[in-house]
Amino acid sequence: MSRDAGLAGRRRYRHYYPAALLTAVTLVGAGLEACGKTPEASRARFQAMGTLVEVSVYGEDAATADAAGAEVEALFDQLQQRWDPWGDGELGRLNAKAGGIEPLVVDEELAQLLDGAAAISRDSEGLFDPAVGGLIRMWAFSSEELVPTSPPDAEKIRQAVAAGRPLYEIWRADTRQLLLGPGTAIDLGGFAKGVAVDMAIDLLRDQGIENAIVNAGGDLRAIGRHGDRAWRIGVRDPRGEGVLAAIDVEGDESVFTSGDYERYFIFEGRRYHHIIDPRDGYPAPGVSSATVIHQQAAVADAAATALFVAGVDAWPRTAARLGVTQVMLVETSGTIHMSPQMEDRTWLIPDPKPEVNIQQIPAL
Amino acid sequence: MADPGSEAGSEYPADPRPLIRGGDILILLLAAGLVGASFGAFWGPRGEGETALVTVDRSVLRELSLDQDGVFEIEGRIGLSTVMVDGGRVRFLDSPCPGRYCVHSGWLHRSGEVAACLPNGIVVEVLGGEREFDAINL
Repeated sequence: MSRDAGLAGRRRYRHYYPAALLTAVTLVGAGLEACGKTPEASRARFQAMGTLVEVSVYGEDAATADAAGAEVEALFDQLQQRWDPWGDGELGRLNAKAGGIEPLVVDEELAQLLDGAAAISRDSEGLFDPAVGGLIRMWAFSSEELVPTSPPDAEKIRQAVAAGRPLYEIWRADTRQLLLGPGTAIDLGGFAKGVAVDMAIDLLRDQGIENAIVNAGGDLRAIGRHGDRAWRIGVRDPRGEGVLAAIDVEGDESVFTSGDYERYFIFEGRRYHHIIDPRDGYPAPGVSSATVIHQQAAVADAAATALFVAGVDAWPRTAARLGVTQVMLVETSGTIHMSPQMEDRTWLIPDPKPEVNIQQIPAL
Repeated sequence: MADPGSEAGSEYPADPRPLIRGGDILILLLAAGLVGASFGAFWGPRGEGETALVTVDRSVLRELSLDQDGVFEIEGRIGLSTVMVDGGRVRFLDSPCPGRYCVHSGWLHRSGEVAACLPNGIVVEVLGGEREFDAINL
């Protein structure tokens, strides 16, 4: 009797085995579907420092995210006013006084910024140099409102380069004194944005926000993660119009890119972009974009500029001197140069894959 | 012995019912449908946007469908910007700004991609579909 019941049960089970398997597959599939639909981050966007800034916050209610976005906006507005090289803030007033014999004394807040910039200027052996403000203005890349149409006079460029001294030589940290010769100006583009992003992240953390991205015109610092996954960052292809590489970022990391593809003009068939080599006063040749991943945004920002100027041969040494390990340079030919640490985490999107050249960063 | 429904030496008698019946077919069909849908969701083209949201000084001016090609003139702070939709993509075609960085931004098609003409106060953002990247590094 009991043997019959058992037999019938096993028979029934055997019959339903394929159906049960399919049901299980179906349920797992449905579960995966549901996983793909995690809630989205809240975003706030505004315009500051000549670029579009976006604050993405994950895991907070909309009101908290909006308030955080508003605070970051106020911070950026304040910094932009103070650090505009040609405005009426601290830095603008300083630049307006250039050309005197006496050094200028700088207020404490700006001094901190100059300390940081001078250190990177020295470590990069002048490849990143905020003291080329005069040259940047000559090229008309210093403002959204100027119209760059043709290169400046070659003789004027030569004179400016010959007279120019790098920031680390004209800045005295102990006395907060800056010696600005005639025609010299400090332009903190390539650093100030990074510092502002760092300060914005500090501000968000002070408010208890643990998962966020502060993205200033594509350059960003990300903390925490996007729910059950890392933040996904796409690095723009400097020549194509899509995404060149996908990088997952979590914890606390900044991704900064210096590229020749946005701020440029074409004159007599040649492209002139805004990343000026302090050594000759002309746009640095050979590289389309330089991407750096580093914890601090200020360092990533300046390092991206310095490595762009260093070029495809010299970048590993400059990276070593700056203490950055994750670097990707895209040569104008399309060849990609990467450190092994960058290659490990980068997924290249184009098909067929571009040529990739892996270069070790030397120990100094 | 000659029973096709059981293996040789099986202790079970042959089941007179067919191995697969109506309910099974239903489950099979549902599962096959789900596999197809998942395939599309996981392996199909991802991140393609559906509309372009055009904002001027933060107020939404219009939402352009990326399915409908066309050229649109947008009144901004300093003049008219021209925005073009073509084959699921959108771009600034022309703008009265001095540097024309917005035009240099080129085509956008991924959900979340943004181009802006800051002097003219115009922002174009691709929306809809699944957002593939939380940020695009420029």
